[in-house]
Amino acid sequence: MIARLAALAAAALLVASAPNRAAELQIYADSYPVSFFAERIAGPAAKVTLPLPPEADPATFVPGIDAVSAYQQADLIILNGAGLAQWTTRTSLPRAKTVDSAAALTAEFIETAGITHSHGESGEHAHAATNAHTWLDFTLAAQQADAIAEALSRKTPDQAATFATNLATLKQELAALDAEASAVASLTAGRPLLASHPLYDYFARRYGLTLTSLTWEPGTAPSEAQLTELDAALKAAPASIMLLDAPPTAATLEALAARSITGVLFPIAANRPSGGDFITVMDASLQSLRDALAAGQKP
Amino acid sequence: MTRTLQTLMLATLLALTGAAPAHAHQLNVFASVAGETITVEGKFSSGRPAMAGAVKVYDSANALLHETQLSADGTATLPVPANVTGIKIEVIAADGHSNYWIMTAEDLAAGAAK
Repeated sequence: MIARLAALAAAALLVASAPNRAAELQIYADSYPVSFFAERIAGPAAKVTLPLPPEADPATFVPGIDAVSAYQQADLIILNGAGLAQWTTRTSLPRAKTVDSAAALTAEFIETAGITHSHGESGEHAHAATNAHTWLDFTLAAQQADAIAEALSRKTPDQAATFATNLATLKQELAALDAEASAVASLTAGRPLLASHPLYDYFARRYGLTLTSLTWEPGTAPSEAQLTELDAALKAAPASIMLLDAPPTAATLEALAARSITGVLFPIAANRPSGGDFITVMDASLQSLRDALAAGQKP
Repeated sequence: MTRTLQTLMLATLLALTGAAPAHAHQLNVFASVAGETITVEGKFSSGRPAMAGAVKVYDSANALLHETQLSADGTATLPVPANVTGIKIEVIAADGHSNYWIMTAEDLAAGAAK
């Protein structure tokens, strides 16, 4: 008897949950920041999938054919835009379902020289002419979140009020990051900084940093040519801090220490972090930068 | 000298010397299906067709299915492979630049219906 009741209860639960599951929006994203924003805005109304393997760079990642097919079948495809995920221009994604979250930000884009270089396992390549890391200006990130909320509301208008509430909460957190970044940047007092890669241009512009970007792999010992490049950069702009987009090797830290440079780990969170989320990762990076700048001010 | 004139002179110099930034020579690949034929196009970002190069077709397991060459107008045609769940078409231009186009099973089916 008890077993039959339990079976009935389980069946009732399945029936009750079926409509919600059917109504859940299937969203595919090309990179972590927009995936995170979509998750936060949609809440349980959507399942957001980011088919990037750990450590993959969304700029150079090429999904398999089955994954592309899954993108095509999704209810919404959310892209960072600004030319970040190059594969998205090398297949047919249905326009009506594709959201370029940076489409309204073209006037804010930062152009790059398209330097040919190599990082990760992707081999030598040149990134797109537009710097794609828009989300590191947290005010631009908030505008990208606006675009995602608008697309979600168009798709399911009956949930627009919930999305608006969730968006407001997310934008409060992004505004807090923006305020913290401004406060931390003010501690530089105009002193130049270095960056391991040209990834932080939007961050530097928004928060008034004087930043020289190199083309280092923090996870690989710097070559003689890279050390020469560093020394030349230091001559032009003496810096005591380098932003590192990945954990450095001992040799990297040694080379920096020999030049009285502190490495500050500042992941850009283009892919899903191994711990925490977009907000906590950015917060931690800002705190690390704050600590390094404060230490540099001590007599 | 105006900025516009300076820009024009620089553009002319780059065009003459070929010393453009790396991204200026990007190869763009596009493919479409009509019936049982796939048409592949290879063009540089300048609009110039890739006049020679290899076209390789891979299945979803990355196995090479078909190989052909671009013609002088930067295109190639090939039959739709049978029993595939999608293909990746890679074009390697004679100057070494390469790029790709991905077609899913849905793309192939939609093209076959044309």
